[in-house]
Amino acid sequence: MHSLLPLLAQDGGELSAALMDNFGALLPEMFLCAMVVIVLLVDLVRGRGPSPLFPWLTLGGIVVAIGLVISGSGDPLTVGYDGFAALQVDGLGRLFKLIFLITGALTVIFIMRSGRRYGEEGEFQVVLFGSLAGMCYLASATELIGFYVAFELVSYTGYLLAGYRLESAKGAEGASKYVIFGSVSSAIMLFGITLILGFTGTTKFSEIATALLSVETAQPALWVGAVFTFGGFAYKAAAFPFQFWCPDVYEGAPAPVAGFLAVASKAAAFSVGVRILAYAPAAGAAAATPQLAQLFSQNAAFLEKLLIVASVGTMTWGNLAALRQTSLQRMLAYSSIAHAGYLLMAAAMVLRADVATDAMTAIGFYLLIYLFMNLGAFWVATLMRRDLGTVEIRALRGLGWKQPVFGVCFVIILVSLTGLPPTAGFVGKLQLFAPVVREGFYVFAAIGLVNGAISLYYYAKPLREMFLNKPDEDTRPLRMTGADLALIVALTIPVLVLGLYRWDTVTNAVRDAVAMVQ
Amino acid sequence: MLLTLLTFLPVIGIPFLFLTKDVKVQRMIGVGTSALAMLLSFYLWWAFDPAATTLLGEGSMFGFSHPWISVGESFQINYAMDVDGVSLLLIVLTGLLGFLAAINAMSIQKNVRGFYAMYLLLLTGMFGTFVAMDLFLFYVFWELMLLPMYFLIGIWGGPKREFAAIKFFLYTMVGSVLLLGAFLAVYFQLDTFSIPEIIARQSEIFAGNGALRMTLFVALFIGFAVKVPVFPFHTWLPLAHVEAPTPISVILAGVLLKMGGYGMIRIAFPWFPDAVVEAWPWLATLGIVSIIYGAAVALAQTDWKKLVAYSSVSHMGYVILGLAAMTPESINGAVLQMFSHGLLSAMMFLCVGVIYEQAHHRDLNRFSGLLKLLPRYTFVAMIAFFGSLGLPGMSGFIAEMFVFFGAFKSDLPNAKMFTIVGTIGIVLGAVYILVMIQKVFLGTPREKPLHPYKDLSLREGITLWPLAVLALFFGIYPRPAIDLVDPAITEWRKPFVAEIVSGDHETGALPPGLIDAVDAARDEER
Repeated sequence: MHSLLPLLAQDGGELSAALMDNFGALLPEMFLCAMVVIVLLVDLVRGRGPSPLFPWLTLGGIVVAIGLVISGSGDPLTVGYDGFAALQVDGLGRLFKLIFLITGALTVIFIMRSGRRYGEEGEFQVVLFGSLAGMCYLASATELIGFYVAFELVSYTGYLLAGYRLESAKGAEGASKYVIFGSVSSAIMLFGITLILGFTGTTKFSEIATALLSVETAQPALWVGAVFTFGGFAYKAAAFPFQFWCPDVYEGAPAPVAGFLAVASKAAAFSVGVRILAYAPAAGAAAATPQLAQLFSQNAAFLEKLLIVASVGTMTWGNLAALRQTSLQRMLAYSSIAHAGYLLMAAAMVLRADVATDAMTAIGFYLLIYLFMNLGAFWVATLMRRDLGTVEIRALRGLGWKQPVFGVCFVIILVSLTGLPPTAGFVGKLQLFAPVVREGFYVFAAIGLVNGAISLYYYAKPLREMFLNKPDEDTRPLRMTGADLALIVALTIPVLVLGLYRWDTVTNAVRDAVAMVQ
Repeated sequence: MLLTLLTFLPVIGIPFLFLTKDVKVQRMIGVGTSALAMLLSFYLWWAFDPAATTLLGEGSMFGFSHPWISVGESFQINYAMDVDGVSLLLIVLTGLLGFLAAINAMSIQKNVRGFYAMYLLLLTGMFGTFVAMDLFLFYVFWELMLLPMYFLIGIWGGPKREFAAIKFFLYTMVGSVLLLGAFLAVYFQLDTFSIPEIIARQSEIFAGNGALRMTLFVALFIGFAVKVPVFPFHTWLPLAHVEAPTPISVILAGVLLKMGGYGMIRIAFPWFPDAVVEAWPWLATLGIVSIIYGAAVALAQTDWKKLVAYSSVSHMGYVILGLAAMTPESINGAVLQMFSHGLLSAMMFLCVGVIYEQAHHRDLNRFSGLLKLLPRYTFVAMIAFFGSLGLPGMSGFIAEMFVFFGAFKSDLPNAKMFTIVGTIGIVLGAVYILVMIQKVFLGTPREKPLHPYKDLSLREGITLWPLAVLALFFGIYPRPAIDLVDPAITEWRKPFVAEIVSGDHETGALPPGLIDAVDAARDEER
């Protein structure tokens, strides 16, 4: 408990900036929080409701935040009070912050061009900034209290975003499911955190990793705590068996928002999950006695099994459920569950010292390209909703012939989501599978590979509609402007380039970033 | 450099397709690009010294390896290409068929630009697969063939094209993921993606763990067997062949099926020679079942194209039998069979295409007396079908005889018995071809076609005659092909010879259940 006292027993005024260590490293998060207030104030002062000003204000804010994240690069900095580290600002965190912010910026652009007006309301942008601030904090959090607060911030803003504008009656159901499931999982997670805190007497991830896996404190209740906390993550990442909310929410929300939740929200869960897991190998290596080391490996093996079961369940359930979908947006929702499963595969490998860096690199790289390819697909859904009034895959019939550039880009994006060369999706998947194979989990890898083959069936559906069928009288073209087209081309280029040419430069950059964690 | 040029020459043509709206010019670009690729492949054969059997390194003629992608300690990928006699023979076949199919495709009217763009992309994938010497590169090219093929069947194919295309795509994708899994497992054993290096160091892959080596071999074998295709992984093939447009059927049967055999020669077999020798009874059984089953099912077909498609299953069975038997003759025979089948099946599909374009059906029972109506066409078609039947003096005969002679004298257990059972295929092959010839070409013309059939046009002649001449040439004088292939095969066989001499293997026998299954399948098809 001692390590908590400095934070809890503050008599207000003493907590000045001078006493904080490296407070400046939190500039991006602080700026995002400031933007919440600024947008709110602007909205209040203008008092004239929606305006095209707001999305531009948001875009500007995000660009500044991206600049702050990049300019803050350097050696890892510990942020905290009086030696108590609450956050660590390092390469892993920066990588994920960039992923969140780019996703946020693209989401705002999508909304601006989606033909809906809700993006022009200040309130929406306030919620978006809150969400981004929470995510960015999460990516650097190294102890439970701050983590939980940020986690809840991301959750609540998520509920608001999902329910802000509904595309259908089903959306209402989805949004309420999201809130109810979310609150329950948060409660469970909080209970888990309480147990961990009670038994280990610390909130720091690094100390928990040691305590959790060592002999003195290991007991069933602690593991209940760990499993419950894991459940909270699984919920956020839409991992098995906590994935049921996901399709309804993604289908009910507007496509840009669904894309934001599918990419940024998932990346947020992985950003902190990976960090927690990354402490385990070091803690194991530091085990004092052979007895401790043995116990550690037993406990790590249990955690690993938990992750493997979740991974296999997630990808298989997601893929099988996606097979039968006829709506593009719902199919993407299920497939995003499957992708969480692939990511969990590598996450399980972070526990193994000799492939931990590889596995973290793979997760970082995959989320980076997943951003482009998945948002590309959601951009198509946005366009379909705007111009065709439906997101049924059927509506794409023959469009590849009418709008070839659009068609070819979408084909490349789908091929990449399937994980076929020569696209970035293949390179990403190769890296996710590599640590699994290297550690000798052949059956696990085989299940993952077969899942990749299954996903081909549903990703080929839009392909078939677009090109294998001629346009018929029902076919209506997408009314794409140059900017709409430029957007999908811009999202396709990284997918193709990172699959064909020098993907090692990006991978090595990601690798350097994640290597800073310890 | 030459190999890079050969591989990427076809895709260089694609941008030019988009410079013009004139369909005729687009056709010229497609045909011209594939003609250049063909000439380059001929030049490679001409310049190649068959004695150069080392891949990558001293003594390699066209080979090179440049560092390409390097990620920490986890991935070291090279841009490496090379050829030996076996791959060069298949490259020449690809170049030739690539050009002839492009000429045949000039009759396609629907979206010519798209067709040739996909077609040229496919050509690059095929050349790349044959020259790649790095597993990553190999896999990229291997998969690069899938998408164009999916579109070529799915857009330009027959009535059931959508189903055929997705079935082809899914089957080959399942095969591919097996390959990828095995590639990664091997990579993390040896820390290299270089194919020659893996072959040289194959004994280190899971050294001492026979069961795991066998599992990996089976994964690789199935991965390639889907492409060959070996019974029971063949079910995508009849559908894809029948639904594909004629030029694509030609490429499918002529080149794509050879990818499977090439993969076994280059990757699956030399990586695990011990597993190959151990699995010999099973491999031989699969080969023989493919030979007999393919022929038996072909006998029962009424769709002309389906008959030709099943004949491919039968003919590729010889390749598996020949490779598994491991004698110099049988392996030479297997490679020759791939080449010969490439020529003859391409001819057969072209022949069927000629009539289909005019009759708009392929029902064997509705044709008769084409000999009287179309004498010139019948002459060429006879060369194709008799070659496929294995008539002496044709390339198919040489190849099949090599396979059977080689397999018969193999030291592997029960080789003689397997070979004798396999020869049933020759008889069945003669039956379905002769029955078909009798139905279609002989007799008196029955049905009066709406428009009188036109005999062979110039364009059709240009595509058919070179193949006919080559099939005859290599039937009478196979020396050039054997001279090219044999040195590479001799080098290739070394680890297997060591394995056969050193290992003591139990006497395996053809499982009695399988013989019954073949008989049952044959009865059912009748």
